[in-house]
Amino acid sequence: MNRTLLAAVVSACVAAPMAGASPGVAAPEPIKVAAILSTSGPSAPLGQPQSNAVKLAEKDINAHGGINGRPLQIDIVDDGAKADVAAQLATQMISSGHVAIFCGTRTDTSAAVARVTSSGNVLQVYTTPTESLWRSPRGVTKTLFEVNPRDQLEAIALLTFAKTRLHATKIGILHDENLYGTGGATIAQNEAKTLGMTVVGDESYPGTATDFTSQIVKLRDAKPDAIVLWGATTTPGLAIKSARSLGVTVPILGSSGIGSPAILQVAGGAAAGDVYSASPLAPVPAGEQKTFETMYDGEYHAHANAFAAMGWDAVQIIAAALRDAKGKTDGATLAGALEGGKPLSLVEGTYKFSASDHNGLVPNDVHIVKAVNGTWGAP
Amino acid sequence: MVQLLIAGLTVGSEYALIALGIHIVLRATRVVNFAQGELTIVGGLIALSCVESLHVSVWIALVVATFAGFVLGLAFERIVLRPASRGGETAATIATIGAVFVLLYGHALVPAWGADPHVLPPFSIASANSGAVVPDSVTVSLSKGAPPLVIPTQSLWVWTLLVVALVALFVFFERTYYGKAIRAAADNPLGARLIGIDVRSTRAISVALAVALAAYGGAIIGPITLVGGAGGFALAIKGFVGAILGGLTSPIGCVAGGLLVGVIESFAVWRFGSDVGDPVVYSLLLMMLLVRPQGVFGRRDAVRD
Repeated sequence: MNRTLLAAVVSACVAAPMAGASPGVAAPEPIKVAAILSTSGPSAPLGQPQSNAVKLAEKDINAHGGINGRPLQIDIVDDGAKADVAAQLATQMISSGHVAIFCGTRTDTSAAVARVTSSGNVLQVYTTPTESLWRSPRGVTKTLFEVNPRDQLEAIALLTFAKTRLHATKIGILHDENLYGTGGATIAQNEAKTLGMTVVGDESYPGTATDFTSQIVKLRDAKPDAIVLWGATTTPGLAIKSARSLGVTVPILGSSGIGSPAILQVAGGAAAGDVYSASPLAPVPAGEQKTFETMYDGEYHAHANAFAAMGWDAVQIIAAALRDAKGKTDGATLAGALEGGKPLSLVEGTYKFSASDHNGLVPNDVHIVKAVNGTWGAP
Repeated sequence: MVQLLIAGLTVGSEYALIALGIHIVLRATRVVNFAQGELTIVGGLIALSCVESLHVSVWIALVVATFAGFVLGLAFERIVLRPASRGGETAATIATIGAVFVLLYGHALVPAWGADPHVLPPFSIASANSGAVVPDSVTVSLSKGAPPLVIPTQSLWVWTLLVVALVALFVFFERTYYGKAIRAAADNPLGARLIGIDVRSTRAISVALAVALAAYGGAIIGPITLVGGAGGFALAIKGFVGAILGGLTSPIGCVAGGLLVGVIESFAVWRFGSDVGDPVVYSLLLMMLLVRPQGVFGRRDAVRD
């Protein structure tokens, strides 16, 4: 009797844990994507909002079922605005199983990572307007896609605005010496000529410049009707301040790289005069832009700027590619999914990718904003 | 052309202060302090913190930054230069290069500073309290039809405060007992010890003065060039070029050389473009080392030293 009772107790103890257990179901393995952004260093004002938007997009995508039932895991790493560091991080991320890369904040870091991703057949999305990274005389780089209206669209929008609204016929150009600035300046020159405008001066400055007198004096003496400024980080703000202090009163039209309030503060606030910027965001938000800005404000209690919008769009584009590729994650397949997929209505516009267009936007997706009371508003 | 001269003398003032700081440290310790530029950056950031966190005027911030630079200089001599000097002057010079990166990445970790440049208010009399308005620049009309000459008010302050610093240092080194003791210890350490001068403390005070000068320079040029950022080492190199041009052994030469570098850079960028500015300045360095290594104002026998 005692032996029987003992056997029953032992059996009960063994069976009890199994009673409430369902058959083992492993959680779906996350899809890993890397975001290599410049959240420190001179490009931090651009990289930090991008990072915030990436986290928000990850949260939103996973709240809506992830990627075909698998959660999306985005690992954000900081390249410190250094191209060699970005390339090293890209190699590490790919080695550790990240199937796509969002990089990056700067043209030089994006270009350095592009060399890694294109040889490694990994999808990469970047946010600077430099078209030449994915389009070259050799053709289109298959695995590289660009969020943000490309520099040609910005140049067309800025110069058309200068011609039609500001009645400018003579243009001066001031640009950063780096790849972003030099590429933008070249495109701006070409587009100015296409629009029948005369380029009366083209000066450059190093990214760490603190004095612009030489360049501004030359441009001032050429008597332009407007100056196109192609640069990013706080340096363009100092250039604007220098121009105004040297008596240059003509309007200054900047590429989207100058579109942060920090630059206006450096430029001297109201003393900056008539300053315009290309912006991928409309001054009066609507549609996807309004929805995103509301979400961003709710999460971070801060206004979402263009750089945040770029981060959001980049993640959504990668997610769309992963969904459409249905399990395949190599760069060529993901790229093919984007090229052949349906248009993506996102914050900065409706992206219609194709085999020959890895930016997918049009000039109407570039908006012109004006510096008003230390912030950017409608012109 | 005059506009370019004004810009060159403004930026050159910063190079001049750095060159003078390099001279002071070199004379006392026989070490070239390549961290002088980064210490200039830190000085500007200290002034920024005074203005933004303590809500004091930029003038008080300038004084505080200078004193803070002095204290920082004492620490720099004790922690970096003195231990490294046991391995010789070359080792100590290399240690200052290491200090550049410690300061560069270190100041970026301070939450209020970060790695980005910041705006420092100008030194103009106008303030929220006074209600007085001083124009941001002085405009001088030139010939008819020509653009007016613009002299930013801050440039006038920079030049004035440069002269103030030079006069103060002259009085200290030429007219005070301690200044003369520092010069004696620098020129002849053994002789100085024999007459009772504490050579170790004179070295420390010399370095502290040089770093105070760096902080002072960072605060006065900050309203023009922004404070912070990663340009410290480049500043030090240009200051060093100025010191070589003018003469490492001559304080007047260092100041003149720094101003000359600023002017040459300004004209070179205007004439040839911004990407040629730095190569032109560094080419001058090579030419001077080949033709007259002691610099314009330096002593020929200093070359052997």
